[in-house]
Amino acid sequence: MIEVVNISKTYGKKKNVFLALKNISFKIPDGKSVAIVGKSGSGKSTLMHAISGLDRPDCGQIIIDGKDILELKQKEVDKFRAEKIGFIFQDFFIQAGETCYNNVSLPLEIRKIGYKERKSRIIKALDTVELSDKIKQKAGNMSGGQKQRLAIARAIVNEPSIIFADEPTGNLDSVTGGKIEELLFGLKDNGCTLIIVTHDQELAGKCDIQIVIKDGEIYSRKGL
Amino acid sequence: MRTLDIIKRAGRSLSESKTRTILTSMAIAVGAFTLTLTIAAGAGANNYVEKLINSNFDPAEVYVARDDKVISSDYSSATKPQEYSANSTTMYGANVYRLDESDLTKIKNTDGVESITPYYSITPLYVTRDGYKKYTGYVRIYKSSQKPTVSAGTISNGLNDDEVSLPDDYIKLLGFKNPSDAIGKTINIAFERTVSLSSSDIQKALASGTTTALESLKPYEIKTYSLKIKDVSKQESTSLMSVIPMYVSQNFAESVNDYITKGTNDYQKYYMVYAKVKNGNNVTARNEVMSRLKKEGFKVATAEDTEKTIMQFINVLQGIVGVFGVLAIIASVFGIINTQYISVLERTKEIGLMKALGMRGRDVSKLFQYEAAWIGLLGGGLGVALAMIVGTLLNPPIASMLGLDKGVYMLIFEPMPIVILLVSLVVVAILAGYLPSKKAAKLDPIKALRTE
Repeated sequence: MIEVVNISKTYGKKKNVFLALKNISFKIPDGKSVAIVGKSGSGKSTLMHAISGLDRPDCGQIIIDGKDILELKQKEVDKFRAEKIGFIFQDFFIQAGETCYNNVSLPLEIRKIGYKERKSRIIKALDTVELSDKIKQKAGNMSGGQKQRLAIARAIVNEPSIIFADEPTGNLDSVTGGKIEELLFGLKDNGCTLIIVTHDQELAGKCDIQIVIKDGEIYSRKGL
Repeated sequence: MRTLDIIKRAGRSLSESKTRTILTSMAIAVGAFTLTLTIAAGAGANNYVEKLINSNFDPAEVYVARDDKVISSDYSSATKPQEYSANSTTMYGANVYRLDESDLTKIKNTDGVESITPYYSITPLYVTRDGYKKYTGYVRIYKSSQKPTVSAGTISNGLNDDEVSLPDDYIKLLGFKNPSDAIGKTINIAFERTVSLSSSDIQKALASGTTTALESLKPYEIKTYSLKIKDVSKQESTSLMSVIPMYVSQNFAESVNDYITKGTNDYQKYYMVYAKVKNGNNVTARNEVMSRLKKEGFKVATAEDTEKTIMQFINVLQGIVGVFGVLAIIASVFGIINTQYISVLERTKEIGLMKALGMRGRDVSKLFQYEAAWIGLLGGGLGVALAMIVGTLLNPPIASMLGLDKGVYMLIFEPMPIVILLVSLVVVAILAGYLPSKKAAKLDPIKALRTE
């Protein structure tokens, strides 16, 4: 359960103050797919950063599994992200110089998981995204679709309870994008909450819940 | 994150930009190269000096003198005229006080002194053999600590008072076929002394009334000693003397010295005495004897002091070269800082991702510091390896240029200093990587990951 209570976020100082988020509140039950929809500059990315613990709102509460993550120290926030969150980005952000194996290994290394367990988990994750045959290939040499699948493998290898996907199909053609969508929605079967930030109405429509953000406020919500 | 995992990632990320890594580490390599050769030359010089000292001096001996100037061989203290003293002699304008017989007795009786050998300044007038020309020569007392390279005969069991150790340069000059031919044969060594004419001699010459008789009155006389050749030996490359000495026994040297100095101001006066210490190879035993002698008012030194004096000179030279190595390393520090800053800028997104995935700022910082460490290790290893190759290749020509004995090299690569050097280079590199790594650690993941 993700509970967002009255969060606000401002950027800048004095005359140049810009209100990115205004009193936003909502609750997301576990295992749902959520689309946060909005135009660029609407505040949807800021909202995602806040929920994932990357950014700190000025006020409010973000309660995940009963804990307000805004009250955690930096070290605990890092730990929270490493253990409970998976990220997928529009630009993939894979490590081009590393092999697929070592790309997927990174979140496990951060969590200090032993070598043996790492290996079996990485193989399983790469299997899920159908990249088992590319295990030793350098990530930089792969196609966009493969890169995004690799990013998904990296996001799921930790078995997180929430996966954030920021425009996951934005840089892909429709066929490849379709496959990625299929993969993403398949993740829900493991009880994982999927939060997709997008301005793609079609993709948003496939989610259980849609939250539309406009000028830092919730403009409309569906499925809640 | 586990340190090993971070180190591995740091290494892989460096191998992604090989050219840049190698170029950055080259600067360190230059410093490491210079320092390795400096250290090797220092070790070689140390080894050489030690050999030098051991083949020329007995470490168990203490030099005892009345005057500091004798010990330090520094007579420059006489910057202005000194008052004449009847019981001193003058060298380079300075009064030099010497030891007398009662001093010798005192030294000999000092607790811990095994035996004493006074320093005799005996220079032969000439060396010859019946039927051959006269040649110059240089005579020294043979001590068991001296180990000349023997080409015939033996010297290890010492010399009798009528025996001599002949340098092989005299073999041809004195008409021997080869070194072994000379063994057991006799050579003549002549010494000269001034004498005061006796009144009876003068009266006799005056009485004869001829000028020839008066002219034949000479204030000096020559005495020739016949010595049997015990062995023929060669000079070692580590010998401090440019002239190869003929070794004689102590008794022989003493009798010659007495003969030369009798009736002069130098009779039974000694610049220096070598006092052999019981268990003198033991520093404590030697120091105890030295402090006892000092209490008696003697000036003392050991071969170790001589070694130190020589090493001081070498160390200064070594230091000068070392400074250049250190300067190269300081320059390389800026190279590393620069490279690592660029690396942080280039990998902003990657750093952002790692932080988003929950990697601690401390670990991100470590990642970049270990990269710097790898650069340090690589550069250090490169420099050390190069220095060892060059040193190994240069050793034989240097040795032959200096005329060193077989197997004696000027550049000695010892493992311990090299390991210490490599470790310090890695530490220096890590310190150089500090600022860039802090920048990486402080990077805001949101800004880093923003897609523009």
